[in-house]
Amino acid sequence: MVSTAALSEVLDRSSLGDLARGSQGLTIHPALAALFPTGLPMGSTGGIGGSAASSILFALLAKPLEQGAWAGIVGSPFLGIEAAADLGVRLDRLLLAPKPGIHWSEVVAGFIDSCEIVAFFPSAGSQQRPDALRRLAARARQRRTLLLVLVRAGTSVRQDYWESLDFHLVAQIGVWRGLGIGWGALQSREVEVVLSGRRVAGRERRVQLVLSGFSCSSSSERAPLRTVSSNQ
Amino acid sequence: MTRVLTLWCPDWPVSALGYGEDVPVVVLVQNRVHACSSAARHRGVHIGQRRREAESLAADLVFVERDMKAEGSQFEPVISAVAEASPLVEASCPGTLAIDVRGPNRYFGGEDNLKRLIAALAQGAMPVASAPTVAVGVADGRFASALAARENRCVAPGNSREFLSSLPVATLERPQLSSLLEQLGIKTLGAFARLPQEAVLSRFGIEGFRFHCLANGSGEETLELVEPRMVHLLEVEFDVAIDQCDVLIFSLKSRVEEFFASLSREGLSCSRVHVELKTASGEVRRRLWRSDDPFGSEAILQRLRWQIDGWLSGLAGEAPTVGIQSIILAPDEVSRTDGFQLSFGHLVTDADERAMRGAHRLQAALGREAVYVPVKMGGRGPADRFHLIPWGEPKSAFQERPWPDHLPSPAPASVFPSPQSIDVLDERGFAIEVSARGELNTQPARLSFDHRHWFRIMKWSSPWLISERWWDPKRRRRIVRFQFVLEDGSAHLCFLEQGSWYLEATYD
Repeated sequence: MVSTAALSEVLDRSSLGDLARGSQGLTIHPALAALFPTGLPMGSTGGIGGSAASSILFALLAKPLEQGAWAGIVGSPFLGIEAAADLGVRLDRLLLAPKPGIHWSEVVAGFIDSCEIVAFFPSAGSQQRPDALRRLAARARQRRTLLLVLVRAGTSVRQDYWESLDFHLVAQIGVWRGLGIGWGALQSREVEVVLSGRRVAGRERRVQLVLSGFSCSSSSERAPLRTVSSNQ
Repeated sequence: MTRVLTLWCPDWPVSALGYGEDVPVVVLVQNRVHACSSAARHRGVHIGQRRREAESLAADLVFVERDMKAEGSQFEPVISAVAEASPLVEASCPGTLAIDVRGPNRYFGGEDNLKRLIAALAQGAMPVASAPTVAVGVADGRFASALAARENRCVAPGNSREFLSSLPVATLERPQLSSLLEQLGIKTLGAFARLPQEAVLSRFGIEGFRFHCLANGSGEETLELVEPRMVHLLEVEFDVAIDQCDVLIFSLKSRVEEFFASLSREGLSCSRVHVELKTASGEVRRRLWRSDDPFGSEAILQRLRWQIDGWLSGLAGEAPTVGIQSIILAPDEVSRTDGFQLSFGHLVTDADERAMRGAHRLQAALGREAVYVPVKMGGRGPADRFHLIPWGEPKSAFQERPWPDHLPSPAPASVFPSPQSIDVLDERGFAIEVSARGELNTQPARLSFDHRHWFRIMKWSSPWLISERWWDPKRRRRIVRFQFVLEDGSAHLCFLEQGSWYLEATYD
């Protein structure tokens, strides 16, 4: 009779193996494909941070939702819906719980059961408990749901909490274009996205992107790929 | 819900062919009984039987194949006749039509008068050989109205639920669902309506949920529709007016096919089409065509043929004096084919069902505010563009307001519904002022979110002045928006109002 603790440890270690051998994941945006060569790692739990975290989340959601997947987003009263729509996210496949309050883990769990991708913005403090995260991660693994923990720039995050995630996607803004000294308007920015984690083969992968309001393209290419939203 | 009047001619496939009710006629489609006259029904024939089974019931039955062409063209005079009372008639299949009663009601003095008038008009236009009876029903909403027509009665406003409750579940015309319900002991629509929504959804899926809404009288409002403005319409103008139906249909065919192909490429489908025919001299004929399944180009061309032929040949009202110059097809009740929708017979994926059930379960456990969905509203500022409404609430209740956004930039990925107070100062630490003409007295140099740590402002936009309600001295508001890029690469949307600075959104 194997104890549950030992069993979960075995599951922890063996279930994902190398992220490079991700499951038959959902389609990933062409500009981000270099980060996940075999598609999105369904069933794993990762973190997204950096100064372009929200936009990268939207870019990740666009193609899967277009394919028919659903996404649940918990804990973000500041979610820029229009920005999501502009980057191609199908708003009619979003379930939102901006202020779940004390029931945050029930809502995340509920979304894990019913959606393919769940994004959770934990506020500092009680919502950043590693044990609660472990439970939710186990559930996500069982349901083959991709669980993403979002830490926007300016939000503090517990070290042990952050370390316990399977992978980290950090998106940092480089240069903004379009704005000058007293003139212009923001148009696009260069973003460097770094994927790291103890389960990523080769330890680290990075891509350079150009993110405008409506498209996300690899900066090595010249022609941007438009992801025009069709749910107007 | 709007009051709808439905006119129904029972056994229309029989009547269209010129047979009276006393002749035992059976109309077949693929060797199964599609329709029969009442004389045939007396002999035990019913819809759905195989031909051989029907043959064995009586020796004097007359079997004919269905003639869609006759059904359509024979019904055109009826539609035109009714159109005299109410210009915009909605026709679905030949034999049934519906009108919105609000306008005609006032004009003709009440629903009873209207009912009699419509019945008389229709009766007068029926094929002489078969002289079928017509039935008219009035109720709230399309579903209840069609059922009321079966009983030739007016259901008073608000009484739809009561009216529907005593009807058997077989009226839903979904044999799988109704046999399942009957096995569970639920025999009437009323009993079905009394089941809790959550249970219906998890046990019977989306289709069951949809019919549950109809059964308790709240029906069609839950349709998720794409805004009509966002959908193109098809307008065809001919260089020379055409007065022959075949030539017209031939010229339209490829345009209509291309139009519906482009709709389905965008993942849209429509269940209603507004057709407007216009002659060279300005005479106009309008019609609404409805289909339970999403419209395809074949179906619409067939209906166009009926409508055009009926008009041009003079069988349906007066023929126009000159040929038809232009045709407009405007899709109505447009929804997504590949996304979540609550409509008859449309496919919904497993993923959609799972998501819907999950949302309902969470709401059942934690209340309506547990799960929201975004809905477009429209407004000046980034926080006004989209609102969140609880899952399951009809979106039709929310109208988009027509304020175009003035910001020429991409939308910010994080928006603060209540702006956060910040500080912005120039190089020397002085406040920044903006004149009424948008001129700054100095340059913004540093910004602080918490009144303690300061970030250098590396780039900034020229000011955008917004004057809200300038006509109202009490609620007048003058704000000046800026975009800032700070030394750490972050970009923010801020505004200045009456000397104080606020953070409105961040481009993260």
